[in-house]
Amino acid sequence: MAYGNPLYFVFRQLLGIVLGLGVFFFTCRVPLSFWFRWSPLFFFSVLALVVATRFIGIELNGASRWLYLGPISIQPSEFAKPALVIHTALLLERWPKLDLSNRLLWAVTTLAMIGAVLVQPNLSMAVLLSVVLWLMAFLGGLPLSLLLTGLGAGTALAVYKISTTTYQLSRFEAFSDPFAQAQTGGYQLVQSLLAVGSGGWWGTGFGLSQQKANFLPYPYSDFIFAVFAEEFGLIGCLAFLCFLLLFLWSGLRFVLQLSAPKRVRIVAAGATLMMVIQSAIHIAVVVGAIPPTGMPLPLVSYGGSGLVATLLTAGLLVRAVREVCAAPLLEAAERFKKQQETKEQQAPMAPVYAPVAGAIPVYSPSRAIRERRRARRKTQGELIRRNRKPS
Amino acid sequence: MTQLRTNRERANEFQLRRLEKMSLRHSRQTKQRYSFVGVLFLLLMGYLGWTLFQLQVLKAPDLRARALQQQTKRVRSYLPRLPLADRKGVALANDEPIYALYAHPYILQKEAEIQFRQNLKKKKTTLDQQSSAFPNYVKRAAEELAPILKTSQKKLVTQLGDTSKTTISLTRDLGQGEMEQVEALKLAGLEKEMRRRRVYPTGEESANLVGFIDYNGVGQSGIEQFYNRALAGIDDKNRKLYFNGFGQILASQTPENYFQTDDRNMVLSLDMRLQRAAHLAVQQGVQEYKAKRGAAIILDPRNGEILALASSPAFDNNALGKYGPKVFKNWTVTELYEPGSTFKPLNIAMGLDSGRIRANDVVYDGGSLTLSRRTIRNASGHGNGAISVTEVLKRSSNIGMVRLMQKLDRGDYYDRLRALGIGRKSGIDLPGEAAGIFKSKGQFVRYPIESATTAFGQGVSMTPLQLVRFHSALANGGYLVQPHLATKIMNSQGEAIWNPELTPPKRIFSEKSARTVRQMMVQIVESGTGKAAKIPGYEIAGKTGTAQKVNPNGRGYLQGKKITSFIAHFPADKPRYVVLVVMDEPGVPGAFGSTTAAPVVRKILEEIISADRILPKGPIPLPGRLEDDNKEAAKGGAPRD
Repeated sequence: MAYGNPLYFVFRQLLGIVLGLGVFFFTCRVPLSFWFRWSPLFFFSVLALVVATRFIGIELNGASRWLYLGPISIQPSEFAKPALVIHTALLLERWPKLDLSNRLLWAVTTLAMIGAVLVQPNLSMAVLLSVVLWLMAFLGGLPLSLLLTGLGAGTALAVYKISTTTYQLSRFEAFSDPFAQAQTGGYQLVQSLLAVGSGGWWGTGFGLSQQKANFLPYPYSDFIFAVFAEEFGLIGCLAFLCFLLLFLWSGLRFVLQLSAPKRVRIVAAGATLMMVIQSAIHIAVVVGAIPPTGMPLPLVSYGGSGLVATLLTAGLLVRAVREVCAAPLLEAAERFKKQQETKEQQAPMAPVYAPVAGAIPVYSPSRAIRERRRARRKTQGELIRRNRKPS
Repeated sequence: MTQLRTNRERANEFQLRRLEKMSLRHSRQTKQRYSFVGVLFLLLMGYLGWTLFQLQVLKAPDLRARALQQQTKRVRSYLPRLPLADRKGVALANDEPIYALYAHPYILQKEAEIQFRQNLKKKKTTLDQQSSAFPNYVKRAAEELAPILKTSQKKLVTQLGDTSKTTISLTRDLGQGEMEQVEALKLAGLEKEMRRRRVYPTGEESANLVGFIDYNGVGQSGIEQFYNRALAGIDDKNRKLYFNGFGQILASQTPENYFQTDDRNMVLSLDMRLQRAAHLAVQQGVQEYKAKRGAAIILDPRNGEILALASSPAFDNNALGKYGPKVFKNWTVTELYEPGSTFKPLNIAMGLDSGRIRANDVVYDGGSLTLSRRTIRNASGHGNGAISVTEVLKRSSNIGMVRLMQKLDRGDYYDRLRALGIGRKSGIDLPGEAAGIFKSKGQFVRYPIESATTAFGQGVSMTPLQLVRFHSALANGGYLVQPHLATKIMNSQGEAIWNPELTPPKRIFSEKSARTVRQMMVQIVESGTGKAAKIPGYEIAGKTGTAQKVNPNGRGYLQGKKITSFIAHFPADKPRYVVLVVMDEPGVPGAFGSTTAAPVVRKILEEIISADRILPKGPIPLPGRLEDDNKEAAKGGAPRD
């Protein structure tokens, strides 16, 4: 690399990891209500920063996506991802209760974020945000008519954008037949396909990619999956895809836990979708299924902002899942309290449960989680399992 | 009251049921949508997996081939060729970098434009001078380049200014110093390409042994050809190497030791002092005796190392253009000749070994002898009467030799000749060695004339070098050694990392017969045909030879054409040098081995004495006596062989 220091990327990425893990553990421990409370501030400050890149950002590769704060540079559009997830969750919960003017207001602010990213220009990120937004809305129970209208409008906008932006158009042409212009427009895709193809069934082995040696563009970020594919082969790639599906299932299934508040479930779904869809777009670019675009592979690609933003999203997911799992417990506690109040004689509950129930008068997931942890520590598994599904 | 309560309860129940219904619907919808999203992603991942399968399995061979095509290049060795040195470290061949210089006029033009624009900014120039910016730039570049490249400025201006061409070759051989000068000019649009040039410091004096390389760095003659692979440094010159996208070689994929920079060199057994002496002596001899060509070989009989091998005509391997391809062959190795009388001592040794000839035998030399309707004569034309074996050699009597060798069983004689290695290669590490020609055993046994001619060295052919090899068996007490030039490849620590594989010495004569023959040969130099090689105070064993030249285009011999030679073992009691001088077709009248080759050998021996500081064996006679001796040798009844 031309950066002089052979450990340049290592140090930069380590910094990102340390920061990111700090953010992750913080997010895991702070109740989601905190994020919902501060959502407007978070959302609008990210929006402001994204807009700011248009004016004070640094242009790199034809797009101004970075803001430089002294020695570090941040990419605000990365933080649009968690901001949008929280914002949309809040929006979807309130949607049925809102009147038309309020709905419009919410819709416009949400779409403003996507628009700001789009004019950066960062088409791929805009597409990612739109797709996640749409899927969250879909899972959040918005009427199909509205969803289909949005889908149509979005597609029309994307087509218009691609066909009017010159570099998007030429990219699209190169995409349709990359080998015809292997040295010019199709270069990136050709190099990527060569890397993937070189992998074969089993790959060349960890660290043994040849293509990453200055043939592949951005082998450390936008085309890192090509390196992965070359080094680990089809077997490794299929394992990766299976892992993505597993991740999707493990995050998305909590949507069905209807006992939990909707916004929490939607945050879990949105965070999962954000990470999985971003991965899918990255892989699709690498294998030439969609036109080349700069989309890093979350948690794999180099990039501090992306790493911190992704770990923030992951932290939201973990926190949301914890709160979803705590919901039945809370419900049970409520019911137990009601039973106590009506003094109906029933079979006594497990004794360990009483202090938990008594201690939580209102919905307080963080407390519930804390109590649950304490209870688990006290009575090994058995009781917990019984308590989770009270008869 | 009850009714009211009941009503409120009813209302509550209704409300509850509605809520339950709603939540049920909500639950069903969520489940449906969840499943829909799940299926969507299953399809998406399936599609990506299928695309990956297509790329990594179905299209993989094609893609991998394309990838390899851009990642690998066949590369000629970057290593400099191993230098060559003689046994004392005198450099015989070295590698030095040399550059080809190219110019790209288009880039020059761009640079001129950039400079113009910068000057315009600094207000050093005006816009109307734009058209002259490039010509001016070219002119300046040509001004600076011309003295370094040693070409005319005008030519450079037209070359550099021709933007219709993308690349122009300015020069192909620019030395390191000149290249540095060019680089110091910091001109745009120039490109250098490094090659390596082989430089031979000793040039003509050793060119026939060292050889040379062609433009592609492949050895085409001499040691350079024979050891081409070893000198090139690696076995496989055209290796496949991995490169990165910048065209840099990837170290992890490059074979170990590929860029070994250890200062290895190949050491030859050659002694440049003797080689130079031999070279000069041969050149002078050829000139003096008007010979077509000549050669001198000095071999260490103890181990077969070639100390010198000079031949004429010589060529300069630093400037090959002047010579025709014929000169590049080392004829002492590639061409056969009939050795003539120099072969006689070997015959005597074989006879002594067989027991049929004794050192004190006496034979009758009548001057001529007719066998199989062919008459053999002495070179002198007259007979010598009853003479001893020593006298036979001293006077180089053909008839005497025939008579002696007739005592041997012809089959036995043939076997002994074969055991000597006649008709086989000597194994010298020079390219294109010829194997000697020798008759079949059946023919040799059936016709007495065959063994008779072989007795005085005709009808049997070998290369001069092979003859020296046979003689070194006499010199070292009976062992046949393998002549060779390369002795080792040395690393920078002086350790030998390669040694030639030599066949172990094979005994072919008994020690006693070898010694006896050597003593006889001493007499040849002392008082026989070899007097011209005599150096007072030193004991030299020698033998002259004047052979008829075989007609290369058919049977028989060339009329009036001779090859004269002289072979010497020195010092005679324990020889460390076997010296052979051969003169092909000497043009002066009365040319014999004694008159043309022996003086050359003498010159070489004198150089050996002074180089090795060999002390005389006995008292050196006074100079006056020496002159007498030489005079006697010069006219002395025309010593013939």
